[in-house]
Amino acid sequence: MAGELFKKYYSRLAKEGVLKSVLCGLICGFAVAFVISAIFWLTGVKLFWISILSWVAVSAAVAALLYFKKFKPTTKAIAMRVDELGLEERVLTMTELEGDESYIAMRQREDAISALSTVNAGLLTIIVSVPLIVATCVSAVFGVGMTTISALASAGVIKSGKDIIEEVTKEPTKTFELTYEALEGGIIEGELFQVVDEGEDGTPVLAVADDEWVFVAWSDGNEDPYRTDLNVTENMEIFATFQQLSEGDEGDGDEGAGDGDGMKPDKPGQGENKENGPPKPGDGAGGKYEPVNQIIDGKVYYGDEYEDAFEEVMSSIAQSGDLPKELKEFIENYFGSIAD
Amino acid sequence: MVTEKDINQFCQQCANIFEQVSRDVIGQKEVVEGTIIAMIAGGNVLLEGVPGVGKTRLVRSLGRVFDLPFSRIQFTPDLMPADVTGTNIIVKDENGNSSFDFQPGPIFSNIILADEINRATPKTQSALLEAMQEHTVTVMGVSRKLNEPFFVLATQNPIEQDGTYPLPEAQMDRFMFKLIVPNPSLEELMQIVDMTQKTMAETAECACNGEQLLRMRETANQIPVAEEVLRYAMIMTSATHPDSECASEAAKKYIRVGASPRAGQALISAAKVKALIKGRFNVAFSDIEELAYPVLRHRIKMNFEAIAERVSPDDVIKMIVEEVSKNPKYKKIK
Repeated sequence: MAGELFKKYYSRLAKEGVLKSVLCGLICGFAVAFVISAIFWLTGVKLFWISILSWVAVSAAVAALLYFKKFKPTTKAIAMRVDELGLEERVLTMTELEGDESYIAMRQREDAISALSTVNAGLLTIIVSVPLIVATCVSAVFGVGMTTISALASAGVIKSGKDIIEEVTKEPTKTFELTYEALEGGIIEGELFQVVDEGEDGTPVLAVADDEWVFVAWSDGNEDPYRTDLNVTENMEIFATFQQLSEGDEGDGDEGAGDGDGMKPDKPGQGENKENGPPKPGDGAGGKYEPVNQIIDGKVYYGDEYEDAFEEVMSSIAQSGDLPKELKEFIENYFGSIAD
Repeated sequence: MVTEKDINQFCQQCANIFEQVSRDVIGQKEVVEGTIIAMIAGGNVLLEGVPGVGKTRLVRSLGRVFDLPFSRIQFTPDLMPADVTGTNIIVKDENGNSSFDFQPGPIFSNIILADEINRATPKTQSALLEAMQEHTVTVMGVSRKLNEPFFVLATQNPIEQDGTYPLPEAQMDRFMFKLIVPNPSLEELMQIVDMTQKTMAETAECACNGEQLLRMRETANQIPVAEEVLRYAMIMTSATHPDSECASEAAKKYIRVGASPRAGQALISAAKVKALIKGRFNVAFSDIEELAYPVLRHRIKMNFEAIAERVSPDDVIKMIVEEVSKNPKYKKIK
């Protein structure tokens, strides 16, 4: 009997039950989609459509389960809701007394039915709690947001969580500073201050002596004016040292120089060193490149002069037999040391 | 089995009782209704109020309305238990043989007015314990059953504390209701003075006898209580215990000892009568909420914090009722 009485209330409360079930299902679905999308995004797996499928599946399953297990309106639940319209638990008691044929039960039933007839079914509103709606919205924002991120990462529009994590967790590259400085008597061509990643090479620099000065060496002992620091693993501050040529040195240089400027003429076919600086392999200036081809004043290469000068000195020594023996030995040793 | 005749009689007699009592007692509707509900439900009532607000008059009036033997015991510090229960006295028969004969005390009546009950010593107060709960009196090892219906309607004065002995919890628990008798309103006061200037005589007449009252009690007992309503009443009772699973926040803060299971029984018994008086054949949540005050206020023991903050038992019950009624989990269907 209660079933017939509650027909008009049942449909409203069933709608309410469905609505609540769907909202709860959506919350669960969004939560699952969020988790799956987050996992895919973090691991770089490009299967975001699985999270969409899982959202649909979980939402539907949970909504159905909750409706039949929890939100489907029972006779008692309907009675309690109807009683809230001011019937003072008449309907609820009536449902409990269903089947009781005692006089008091019959009177109670009559009283309840009479009270029920005064109630408008339209007053029974569908009630969904605000926290449930808020929870659905929040879960939707997170679920949809995470799925979108996962989808964009799969399409390559944005970075995946995996890449971001790798970037964030990667140790920053160490850099080292290379500082080149020329002391008095010359300059350095090239970048004087270089910042180089660990293990990388610096750019080449060249120490160029001024007129009447000669490059001696770099402060680390390297005597090659042209240097490139390779495989840099520490900060370096290098000075290029130069030495001023004395009068004698200059005279020697003039004697050896050619081309009308006090320097000895270049050998035919060896080209001309147009710039002040050391010879470079293949540039054709200053003759054959050998370690003995030392730069003295930045212009003249004495390597080529050495052989001739040595022979000349030795023949001069042989002809002038009046030279003291000790002096001869000294001169021989001197030129011998140059040759070494 | 309740019949239509019982229901009709109940309604008619209730209307008569209220009408007759209203001839002697002006105003105090809640107190009158509470007392009548307790009497129909078979409970004892403790009336608390300042002197002169009509407590004793109400009880006397009820005695006449119910057409039941009525005894008044004025409790004083020198009152002895035997003065209440009665005692064995030596009597001589025709042959001159002496024997003990029990002389019943004033408690052997149907309606007992225990006036200023807290003026007697705990020993004398305790003489009422057995009578109030078991409706028997034991003197010299012999138990005697009291006549039914039996009620104790006690009064106590809250401000005259000198020379008084507060009722112990066990005694308090045996009162179904504790009703606070308020001062009459201005309009009621004018009516009281106007009425008593003409005559001090009490004019209430018999509206119901003891047998009818017992029948009314049986009828009321048949009123059905839905499971959810019963649970709600028990939750309301349990919520007064600070350490129970349903403990309310107010109880945790202000109550030292909560209400006993008798409170739950009293709530349901009284709610059935109240529902029927209202013409309803079922107990509602609202009945439980309204009756929570008279049923619980003397059964809860306040803690120091409540006393320090001057929070009364009624304030705490109000908090508990609001907390329980607004919590949907207490009304949900299992």
